[in-house]
Amino acid sequence: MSNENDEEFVLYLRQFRPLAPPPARYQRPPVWFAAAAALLVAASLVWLFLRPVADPAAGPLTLRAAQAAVVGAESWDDLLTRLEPPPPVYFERSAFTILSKETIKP
Amino acid sequence: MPGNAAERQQLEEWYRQYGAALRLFAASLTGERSRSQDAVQQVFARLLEQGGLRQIADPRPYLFTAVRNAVWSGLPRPERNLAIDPSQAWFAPPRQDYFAELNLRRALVQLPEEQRQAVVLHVWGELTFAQIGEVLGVTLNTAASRYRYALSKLREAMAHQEDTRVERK
Repeated sequence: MSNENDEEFVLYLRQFRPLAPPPARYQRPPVWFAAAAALLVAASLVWLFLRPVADPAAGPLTLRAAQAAVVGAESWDDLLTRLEPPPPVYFERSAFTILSKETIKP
Repeated sequence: MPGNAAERQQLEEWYRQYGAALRLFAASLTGERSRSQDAVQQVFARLLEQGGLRQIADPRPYLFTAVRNAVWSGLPRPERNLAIDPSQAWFAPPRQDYFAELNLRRALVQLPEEQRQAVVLHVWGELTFAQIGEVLGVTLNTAASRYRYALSKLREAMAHQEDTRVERK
């Protein structure tokens, strides 16, 4: 058994590389991970404060609310306006508003 | 978390540099990848907790000794002839030759334990014979002798397995 053969065999064996271990459990997460987490929290807080909130006064149309609207309304259009829910954020006018003003020819 | 920033950084560097070889060494003692990983994790977690890394003059023999002790401590000593799981590779083989990888593992576990440790420490741990002696608690000459016997048997076993593969083709 020559040293030269040993060296060649060792070189061959070293081609088999030990598999890399998983990250050590104590290791802190990478910086990008912490930054992404902070960004997510910040975005959630912003959304919570700035999201469109439905008018709590609107609520579902009840019989009492309808009666009150009828009593206070000066015209049919006025009544429809009182009963109309607040317009959604994404549209300029609701379909109900548009349809209520439509003139139907007999 | 315990440990100052400098020590954590040092440990991370050691884990990056020696982690793979440490796990291989532990696997050569246990035959199992998961148990070997636990031993390595245990060593680094304890180092992080205890600190005092500056007192470690040479990390390589220190870490391999610590892993060896972690494998043996509190666990039944594995039997002489380890059983290996064919599906759990220890190495990334050249040219993705996993048949050769399995052959190498089989050849390693067939070695007597003290020879197996010596060859793993020198070939993949890249420890000197003096350092191997320090890890195994033997003299430099004994470490070198075990290594030479191990290398000879390893070469013979792998040559035989390679011949078997050629015959099968």
